[in-house]
Amino acid sequence: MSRLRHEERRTLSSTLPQPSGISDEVQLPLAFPTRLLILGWLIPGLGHVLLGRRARGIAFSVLVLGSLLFGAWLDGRMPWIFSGSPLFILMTFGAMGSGAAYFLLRMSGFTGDPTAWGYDYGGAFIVTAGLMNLLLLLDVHDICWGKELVDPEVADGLRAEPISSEDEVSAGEPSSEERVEQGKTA
Amino acid sequence: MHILLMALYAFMVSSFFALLARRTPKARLRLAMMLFAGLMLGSLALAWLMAPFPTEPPAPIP
Repeated sequence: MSRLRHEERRTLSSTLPQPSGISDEVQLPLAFPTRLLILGWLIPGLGHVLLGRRARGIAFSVLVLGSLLFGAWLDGRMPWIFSGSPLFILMTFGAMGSGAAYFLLRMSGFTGDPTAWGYDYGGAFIVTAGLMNLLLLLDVHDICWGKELVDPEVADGLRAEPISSEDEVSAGEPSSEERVEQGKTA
Repeated sequence: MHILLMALYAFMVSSFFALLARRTPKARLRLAMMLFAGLMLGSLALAWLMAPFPTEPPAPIP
């Protein structure tokens, strides 16, 4: 894990996570972040943590896993692919987005209780957790490809001058100047 | 209890998208509040619009 983290961060932090508009000098060939996406799918938030976005990764993990577990606590519907309806197949794929936690819940025998009052509500929480994690995977992909979302007001400032370190609130994230410097040295 | 669960759901979703789409705490808070208000008021408005429609027995659980 540590080797992966070192390699991924060495490659990615030096080249990729720079918002558009900062600099066009660092354009190195990129690799599709397969391992990051798989790890981020298995454990929600891990992709961001491995990219150095520790605070955001942990917050995402709490949100996604908290939603999944809360849905399970409500005895919510645990969608399964053989439920008979095409919409439930889509629902299952959405819920599977939670990764390992979904399959652990299923293997533990949890399927939800149709007689519970929170069956539908819990199902919504469970499916939403999976969908949120799928969005996180897209965000990981965008970070790796240098298309990280930037606040509109920050993006306006980027056209005139580089992003300041105060704009980056997450601990451990390299500043834009550091990224450009790392890219030059790489 | 229903509206509490709805509020919790709206809070969770708005927090997630604010964390995902904004970088500064101020911008995150503003987006989260807008999303939360939109989800709550939108669902209440939708419920109000659906009130005249006749209710039917719930669909069977597959």
